[in-house]
Amino acid sequence: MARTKHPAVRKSKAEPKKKLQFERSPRPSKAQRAGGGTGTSATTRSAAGTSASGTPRQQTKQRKPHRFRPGTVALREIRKFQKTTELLIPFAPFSRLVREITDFYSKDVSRWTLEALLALQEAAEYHLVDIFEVSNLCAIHAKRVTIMQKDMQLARRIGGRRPW
Amino acid sequence: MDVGVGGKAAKKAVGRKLGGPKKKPVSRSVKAGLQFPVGRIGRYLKKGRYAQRVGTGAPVYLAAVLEYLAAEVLELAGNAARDNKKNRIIPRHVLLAIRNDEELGKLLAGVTIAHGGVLPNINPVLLPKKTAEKADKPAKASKDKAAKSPKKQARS
Repeated sequence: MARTKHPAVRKSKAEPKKKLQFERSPRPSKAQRAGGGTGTSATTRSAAGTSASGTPRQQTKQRKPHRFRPGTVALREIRKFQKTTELLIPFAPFSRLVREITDFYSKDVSRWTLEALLALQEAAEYHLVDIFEVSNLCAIHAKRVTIMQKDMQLARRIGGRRPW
Repeated sequence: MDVGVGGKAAKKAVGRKLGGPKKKPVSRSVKAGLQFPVGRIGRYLKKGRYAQRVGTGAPVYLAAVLEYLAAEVLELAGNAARDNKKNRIIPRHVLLAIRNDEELGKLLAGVTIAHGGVLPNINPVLLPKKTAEKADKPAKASKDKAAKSPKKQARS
């Protein structure tokens, strides 16, 4: 008769794993601190998240993840990017776009030096920043703080540049 | 003809011997008290065909003007670098110098400076309002004063 493996039968139930609390335990209030407990009393233990018997009790209310109000991060990014001077458009996609446009207009010219591409990218980014600045003024003039398509159209129209 | 030319050359040589050693050449930049090259600027004016003839004072004047402008920009850029606790001028410092100066800004209004960035500027309309927060603070403070302190609560 062939021998078969039988799964081991456990007599006792496995104890549940302790929950690790990574969040800081809520600080005891002034009234609790005035009570004079130094961490051994039942009140402080319950505040730490365990009952007197030592078993972890389920948290009824989880802490909300921290969120900044809309607009705070935007202002922070404005300050950050106005301090820096590096190019903001990734170089490889910009280079591919330039080569695609070059190929569309001329089959003969197909090679670009690195300096020429960097100069073109500097000019393109400066031009975009300029348009965004004027568009922002147009939006504020219309009693808004959100740039819309019509603001950019107005900025380009009044700027006196070519219509494309 | 050849004899005459040779005679002139001989006379010059004799004259130099009698007069003493040859004078050391002094550049026109040194004569004018400038750092910019007067001779080179004169050559550029001639080669560029801006006019058929170029006066002797023109390259000196132009060199002085260019030197003044360069000194002005570098002075302001050096101040900007020192304000940023740097010993070396970078394009950012040049841009800050130009855009913060009214007259240089007007002169170089249509100029793009590579790796210069922009001036830090946020329209006040976009900033968060402080008035609402200030109005809330006194109300909260009065409420806190009205409420009893923990010690008094414990006593009662």
